[in-house]
Amino acid sequence: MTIRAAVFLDKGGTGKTTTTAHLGRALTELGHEGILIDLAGKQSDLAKQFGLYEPQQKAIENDEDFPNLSSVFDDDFGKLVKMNGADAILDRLIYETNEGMDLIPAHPGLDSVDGELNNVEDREDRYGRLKAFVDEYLEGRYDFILIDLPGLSRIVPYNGVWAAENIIAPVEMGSYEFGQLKQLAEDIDKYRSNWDIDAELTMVIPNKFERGTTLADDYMNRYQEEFNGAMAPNPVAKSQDIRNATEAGKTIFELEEPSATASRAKEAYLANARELVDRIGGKR
Amino acid sequence: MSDDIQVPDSMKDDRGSSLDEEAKATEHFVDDLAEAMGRIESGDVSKTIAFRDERTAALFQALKQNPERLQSTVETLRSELGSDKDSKGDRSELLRLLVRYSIQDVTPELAEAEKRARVQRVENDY
Repeated sequence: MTIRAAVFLDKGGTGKTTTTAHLGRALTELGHEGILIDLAGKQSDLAKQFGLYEPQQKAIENDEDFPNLSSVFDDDFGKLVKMNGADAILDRLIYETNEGMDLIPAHPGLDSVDGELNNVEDREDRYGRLKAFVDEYLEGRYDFILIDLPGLSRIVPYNGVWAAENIIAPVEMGSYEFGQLKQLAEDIDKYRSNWDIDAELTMVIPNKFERGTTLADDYMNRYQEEFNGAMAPNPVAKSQDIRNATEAGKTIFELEEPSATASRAKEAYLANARELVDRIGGKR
Repeated sequence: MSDDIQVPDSMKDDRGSSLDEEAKATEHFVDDLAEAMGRIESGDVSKTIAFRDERTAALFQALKQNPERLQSTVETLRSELGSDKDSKGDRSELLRLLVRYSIQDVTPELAEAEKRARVQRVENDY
């Protein structure tokens, strides 16, 4: 059984990519083999997170970037696999990170996918292309699949929701963010009823959390009240080390001497990863 | 090119990245520009351009009445563009320099395309 989740919130800058990378690494640390899929935009932030940006850009420059993540959404992706065999195609699509997980990085070609899928009349075909790919080629091959989605409600991110169904939302503690999260919960209800998919707000992760302030505690109580069953067991501490590690092309799990806040963040990711496995595994 | 991957015909056109698309669009523009240069050179297309604008017309009328001001403006632009004194410093030259300066400053990619189109013309002529 493969655990699938998409990291999503209809807002930029909430730490979606950092969450995807660190939860992935935490799951790996717990002994699970997994893959990350970056639908979050051509800036390829997940590739940067794992020091794979340069090789990927080189492949693009040398015209060695086919097939790529945008190919998965093509009408004839199945034909491409038939002509070459799944292993050859997956070998091209998938990069190995040096932190144990695999990665399918974002690609500039994703820019045009929304426009192309917009013309596809059949709803299942329009929103279900990534799901079809994941079902056929990744399910069973990995213990977990985490999909990083952009902060936009468009066709490509919806494909991520269809493929994963479980949604993880990283949020900062604030009233604006609280409203965003409530909106997401309402949207997920709509996905369930309009699309007949089993979408669920599986985990809300308080992010960049600063302990001990009355304001943070107040917000935490408010979030707990509203999203009780979905709250992650541990908020992730705000830590400069997370930013430093990201800029160095790695997660905080790779830091030799993590700061106290980074250590707390690491423990939080591990606890949240364990809980994620329980929540999603328990559903099946 | 991923040489060992067979590609269905339907996917051949959209294999490139959007970066490739931009590069193709630029190439296409340079080709059009080089062709336009050829047509102007052969006299098929007029080398004169004109536009209507009251404010600019007034400005140029005033410069005509103040030749020192016109000359100093031309000199400033020549110096900014590294342009030789190859004309008489009249209002036509001023307008030409102003347009070139704007293109270079605001859309340097257009200036670059123009340079490449000139190179292409020279290469094709010989």
